[in-house]
Amino acid sequence: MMCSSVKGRGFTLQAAVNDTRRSIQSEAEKFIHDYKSLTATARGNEDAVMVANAMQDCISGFIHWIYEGERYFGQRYEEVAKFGWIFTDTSGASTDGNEVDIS
Amino acid sequence: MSSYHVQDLRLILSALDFDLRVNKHCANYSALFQGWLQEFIREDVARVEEWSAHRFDLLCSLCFPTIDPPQLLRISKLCALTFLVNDGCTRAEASPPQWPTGYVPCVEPAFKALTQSGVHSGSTSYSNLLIPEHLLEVARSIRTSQVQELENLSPAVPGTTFFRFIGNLLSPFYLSQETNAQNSHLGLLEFLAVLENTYDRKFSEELINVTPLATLWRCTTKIVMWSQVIRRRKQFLIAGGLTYLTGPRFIHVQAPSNV
Repeated sequence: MMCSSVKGRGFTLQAAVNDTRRSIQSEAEKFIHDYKSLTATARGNEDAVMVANAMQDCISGFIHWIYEGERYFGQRYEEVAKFGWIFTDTSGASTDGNEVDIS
Repeated sequence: MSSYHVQDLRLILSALDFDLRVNKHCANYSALFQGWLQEFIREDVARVEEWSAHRFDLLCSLCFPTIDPPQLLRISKLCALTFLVNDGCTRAEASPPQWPTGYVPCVEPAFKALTQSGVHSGSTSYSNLLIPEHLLEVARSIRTSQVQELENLSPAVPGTTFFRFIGNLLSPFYLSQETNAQNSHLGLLEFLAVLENTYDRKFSEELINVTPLATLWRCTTKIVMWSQVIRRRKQFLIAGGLTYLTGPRFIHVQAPSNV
């Protein structure tokens, strides 16, 4: 999504990041809407409710986890978690050596 | 030097009242998991440090907040293996291929151990997907060829394999929105299998057909996939940049026709 936004839609990297974030928010809103609908109508179907709860746990757990280690934000992940800024050099590599942009 | 700003994704969830729970056993079992991880990748000290830093134990503590330590350890092992296979596959697709040193040799014994511990020995319809009997055959083939892509190996491998299971589980993350809509069950079946194993319960056969679950699963995969895209690691880029948008890079298997 992000690279297609950068290349195909003429976005800057920042605009593509913002666009991706909006898409995540949209899907999260849709999830909560459908989740509430399911839990309200699926009484008696404990399995379905249990699976829906597990999905919510996984979303919440995963999103929080990416801020808690080096896998996605490198060695400076604590700064990213706190301030949100990611620094890259002009070649598209982040300052911890991981590339971030393919535009 | 340039920069970009990522607005905190956690705020999206908190504003929408997503629950965040941490498994109360997290601290106690973390040492057990780290010990297993060190034993698992003992041939490569650098990779032990790298993988310890990923904190898969924490991920599973957050995603499975109510299970007991034995289940937590099991799902953490599967999680670590999944990421390892994922990373290994991605590196193998690079040009030239970059299979990590000791990749297959370390996966093989770990997978044996998981099999013996019963992670994949469930008897339900979903759990049967996890039968790993052909994993070692696949692993040997990979070790022999070193560079052959998993897609090319799959037709020669009968039955369900661990790699195929992992591939299906991860496939939604590599599909475009349009393709994903046509394969609403792809990955959900494997997710149900994981839950059955993790929570030690058996789901009804009809569960896969509960429409709202397919919708929720699509939302789940998109959120997880896109949250990774915001900060892309080199390992994703060397796979070809647009890989995850153009189609699954793992073995692509349709959901069985009987579900």
